[in-house]
Amino acid sequence: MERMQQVVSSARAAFNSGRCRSLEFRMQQLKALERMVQEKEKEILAAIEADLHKCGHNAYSHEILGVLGELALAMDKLPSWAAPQPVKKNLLTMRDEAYVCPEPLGVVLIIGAWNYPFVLVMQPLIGTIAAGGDPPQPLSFLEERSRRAEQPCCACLAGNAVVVKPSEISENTAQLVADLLPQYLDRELYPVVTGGVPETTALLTQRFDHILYTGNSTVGKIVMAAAAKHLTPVTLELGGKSPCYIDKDCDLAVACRRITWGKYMNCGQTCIAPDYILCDPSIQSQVVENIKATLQEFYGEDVKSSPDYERIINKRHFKRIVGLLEGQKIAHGGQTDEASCFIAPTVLTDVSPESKVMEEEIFGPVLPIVTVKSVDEAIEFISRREKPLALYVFSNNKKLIKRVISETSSGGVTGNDVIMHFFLSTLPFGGVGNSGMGAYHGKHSFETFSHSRACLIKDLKMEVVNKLRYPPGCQKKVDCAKFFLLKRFNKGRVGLAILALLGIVVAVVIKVSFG
Amino acid sequence: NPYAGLVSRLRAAWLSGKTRPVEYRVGQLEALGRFLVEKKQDILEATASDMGKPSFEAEFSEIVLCKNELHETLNNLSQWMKDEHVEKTLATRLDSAFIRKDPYGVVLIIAPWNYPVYLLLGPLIGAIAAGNCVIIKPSEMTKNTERLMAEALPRYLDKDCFAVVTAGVQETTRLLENKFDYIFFTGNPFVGRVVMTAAAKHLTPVTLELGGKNPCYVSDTCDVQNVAQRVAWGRFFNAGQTCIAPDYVLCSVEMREKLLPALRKAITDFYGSNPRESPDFGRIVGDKHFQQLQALLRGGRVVIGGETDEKERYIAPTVLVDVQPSDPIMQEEIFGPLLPIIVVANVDEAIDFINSRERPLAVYAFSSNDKVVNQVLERTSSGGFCGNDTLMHVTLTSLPFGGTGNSGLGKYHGKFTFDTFTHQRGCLHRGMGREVLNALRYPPYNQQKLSVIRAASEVKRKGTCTLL
Repeated sequence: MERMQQVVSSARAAFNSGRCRSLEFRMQQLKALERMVQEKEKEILAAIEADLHKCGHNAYSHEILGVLGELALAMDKLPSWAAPQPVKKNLLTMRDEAYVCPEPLGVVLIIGAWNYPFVLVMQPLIGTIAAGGDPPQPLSFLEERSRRAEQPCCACLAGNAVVVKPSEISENTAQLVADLLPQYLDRELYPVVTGGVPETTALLTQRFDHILYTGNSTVGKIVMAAAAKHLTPVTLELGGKSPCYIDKDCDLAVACRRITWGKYMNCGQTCIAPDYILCDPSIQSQVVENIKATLQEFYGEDVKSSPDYERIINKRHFKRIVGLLEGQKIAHGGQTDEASCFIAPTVLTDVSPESKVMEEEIFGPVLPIVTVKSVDEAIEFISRREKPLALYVFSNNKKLIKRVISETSSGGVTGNDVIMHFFLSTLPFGGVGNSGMGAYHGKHSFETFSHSRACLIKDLKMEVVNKLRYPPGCQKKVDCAKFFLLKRFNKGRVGLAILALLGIVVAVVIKVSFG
Repeated sequence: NPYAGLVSRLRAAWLSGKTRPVEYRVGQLEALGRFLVEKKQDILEATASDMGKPSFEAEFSEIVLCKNELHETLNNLSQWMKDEHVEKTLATRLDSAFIRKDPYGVVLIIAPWNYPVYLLLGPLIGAIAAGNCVIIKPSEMTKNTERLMAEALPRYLDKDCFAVVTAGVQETTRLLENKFDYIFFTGNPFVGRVVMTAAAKHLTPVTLELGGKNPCYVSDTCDVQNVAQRVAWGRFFNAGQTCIAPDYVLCSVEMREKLLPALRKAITDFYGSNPRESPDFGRIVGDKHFQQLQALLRGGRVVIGGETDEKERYIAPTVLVDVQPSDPIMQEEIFGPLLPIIVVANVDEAIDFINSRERPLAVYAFSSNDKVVNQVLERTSSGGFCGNDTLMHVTLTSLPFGGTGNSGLGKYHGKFTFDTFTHQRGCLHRGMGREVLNALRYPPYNQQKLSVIRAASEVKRKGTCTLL
């Protein structure tokens, strides 16, 4: 407990010192992160392999590529994201400066997950370092305006301090992150805390300015309850059972190949993996055949010896997933080996919606198929359950896809593919309902980790216009106030000039009547 | 649970999809508009009975500001509802990528008593615009307004999808046990914590509009009379019961000596020599609150005002000096017509004073020197900021309104309200063709595939050459 208090207070002191004020500092930290990923690529891949039996190529494209992309994007866009954004004004404020200024929140806590142990800690970290901004340097009203026009990046930047808590379950990656980050980043601003449940619980008693948690809904509730004590905003990236509806009218071979890829990558341990399939009974066996064929293409005859197939993270999850197979019709796979935590890519058919495998998120290489007679039934099935993190629908019929999207709710959607919406950083990535709250990736990370401060800078002169609002009150004043408040101006320079003139005329009239 | 039935009824209405079409939402919003017009007199009377709210203040803050939000929303709703198409990468160039604006479902709005109409209808407008079903809980402290809402609103809005619940503390606790898809709460930080803790049980996202002690720094270089007017107006509007009212003033000894007579003049200009007789000065909402405020008068020295009348719940516009940071008046948000002035040597000391306390909902700085205003802005943190005036940033619906730290989380007003009650759903709609491109990502993995993926997905820094 004391250790946690110390870590957090030293991060807060470092944040308050304002030493990370300059754009240079922040860019430097992001560049250092980039160097770290490039220089230590081998070590990172080795740690991920040790944790998840994930081969280098796979680990590189899932974990490192995304991080490098996010870093490049952040460094490129940072000046424009952090610049104050002017807003539309009304007549009453037309002579004033009105803008939204992104500011850092303070000390952010990032709790990572074990399934993609590197990227799920790094991607939020990048956003947190990038976020925030000092308001512009003190300048006169007009000077400031022109300077801002020339230099959108004049907002010098104070990033957040970050306490990073990688998942202890992916212990090799956790240790690596704990070793590497202090070698490349400012140690006080970005400390890494390792440990399990007791350490995380102790950490959660401390006060943070934002917490981003990736994990399951049960712990999500605990994190939010702890955050509530300090009124700390949270982003919870949770999970759920992401449904995958396959319409009769679609290219089954293509659909099944894409689904097979998304389902069995990382041995099914992906928060946005297609959890179960919904399809018409008439195509069920075709679906199974196509998946079988694809599995052969991907992993060969003997999956266990394929270097491209991962393992279950630990014995506890292994046992949990094996338990889900009980009483089910195994159409393909089902082989397991406890010693190596191996579970073969498995497909179950004619699964009952009430069975255990349909209760919680599977998070393993088991794919149940539940038959439904129509898209209506599929929509109803999905809507009756908790809102999932992702929703997938395969069909040649665009209208059908649009309908499924419109009549359901989920964190995100990919139509005619799986997983891919995750990789487009212009799309916000997050859950809804039981699958989470808040979002990040790209600019959404920046917005998550900064406070949008509304700023209105008025003139101390032009007091005569203010007389409208001062007591003593009367109907004429109210009518005038309504005119000023309810009208917008955005009609270009000429309109601006006319309105300015109008404003002055009205002000004079008021002064005469009420002065 | 006494409210379980109501919540499931609304949830059934929600699942029926009734609230989704834009025509429905516009219809309900227009009905709200009619409510504001037809019930204007009732609103003015109710707020006058509840807390002696002057009709000018009520019309401005409860009706005009609501209408502002309503018009802004009606003018832009179809635009806001549209799918927002986003920039794509090379790999997704031929796909459709957009953000879908999904309603959350059944949302709960808990309103406070200080602007019982505006702070209830403001969020409601956004919640309806976003396509949700809403349970509305007006404050039990303002009984007449609560009754008006409970009786009149259901006559304008669709009873299937919108319900008004009247509830005290106990009942609200029971209400919060139900699962909502969003909770919007305006009130104090203590209850804010209770609401968020209840929300955590169901993983319900929240917006908490709380409060704090909003500092008001007055520099030595300024037009003293203008400053005094603007500060007095902001402080004494609604008898000080405004979450963004300037809570206390920070200035030098010299400025204080100039400010006091200026404040005295402003108060007299506004309310006459006996504010108690002015129709333009409000009253305190309840006895308990009145007594709390009375107790605060004991610290420091009253130099202007200080008169109170328990029967009327009247407290005169009051200014105090010689207040210590440890005095009770400096411990919590005042929320009344008392303005303490604290002496600081310079702007740096003022900034340190502000930063040693919880982040407030607003920070105010007055100076003819823009550099000073910017310094305060730059070196402090708060929900919002207004330079050279008080309260006004709230009237601009293009500015987000919300707190940070202890003063709250989330934001609203204008489009931000619509966004608050909307789940931004990332959607990628691909085609079934071009499968050969996908082959790159499938096992068996090898170095060649990886190199192509790397080359195709790298986000190059601007200025570096790329062949693709």
